[in-house]
Amino acid sequence: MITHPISTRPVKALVFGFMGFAAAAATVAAAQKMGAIEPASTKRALGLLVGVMVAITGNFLPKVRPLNAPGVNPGKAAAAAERLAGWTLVLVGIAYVALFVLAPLEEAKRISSILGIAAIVLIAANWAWLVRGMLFGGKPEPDETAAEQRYAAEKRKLVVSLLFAFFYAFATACAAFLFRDRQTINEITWWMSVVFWLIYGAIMVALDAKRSVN
Amino acid sequence: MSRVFKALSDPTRRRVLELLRNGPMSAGDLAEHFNVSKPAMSAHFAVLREAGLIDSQKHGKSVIYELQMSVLEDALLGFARTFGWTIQESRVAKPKRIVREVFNS
Repeated sequence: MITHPISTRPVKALVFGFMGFAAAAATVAAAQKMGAIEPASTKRALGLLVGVMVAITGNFLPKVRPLNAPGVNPGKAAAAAERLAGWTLVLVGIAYVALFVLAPLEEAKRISSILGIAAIVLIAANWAWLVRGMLFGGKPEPDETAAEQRYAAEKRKLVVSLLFAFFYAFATACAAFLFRDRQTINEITWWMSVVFWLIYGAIMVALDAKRSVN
Repeated sequence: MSRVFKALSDPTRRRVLELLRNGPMSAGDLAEHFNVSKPAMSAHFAVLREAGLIDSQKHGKSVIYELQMSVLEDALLGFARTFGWTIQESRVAKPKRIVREVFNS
């Protein structure tokens, strides 16, 4: 029997972090619409916010253990992949903040997007073979109760949803910063949202199917 | 955050975290690496767990410990390891002792 249930503190921090990010981004956008800040300052503020969100998510990533799936993913390999992803995101987040504070806006947008896309590709490549365990879980512990299994499944579902939302927002921000033409940005983000929603739907169906099997 | 600093201030606890980098380990396997009594080792585990740096699960008779550190905590551990950072217990205790002596006199 598990005596110390899986910690929810990092997951709560992530949830509140995302809510804070959304509120801050909405405030900046509203301030621009009301004419309180200039469009260039809005872009700098949004770049800063994205950087802070990326750094905070990266910081907590190894703590929420998204790839942890005993029986499927080797513990050491999963922990190393989570740590690499966490460090990558923290460093990219710090680079975002530095660029949007110090560099000329156009340079900041271009370099930060390239860094962001490179980070997403690196993490995706590093996680590729471990994602199977992340989605479908491992063998439950022999002495684990049904309530504990349900709790672990719900936590897994929440962490997957949060990370999915994060990577979607991050990829959209990178695309928006990389291209100048509004129509190109709209087309790319539209296709990205279609692909992300399709993958998200498939993941949720897979997770529900896994839960019903358990 | 003070709990994290307290946990990382002790070389034994830092060594435990280093060992757990290689994967989850049982309390017994961890204790074999130290010349410390069992209650003292349990106290170290409790401090680390309270700081949220490790997670523990009981499997049968043995307790399995697993690393659960954020990037910032990982960086702090690296910093502490590099500079051999320890909290001087005497310095912490000194003001309390002075207050006690003043009130007793």
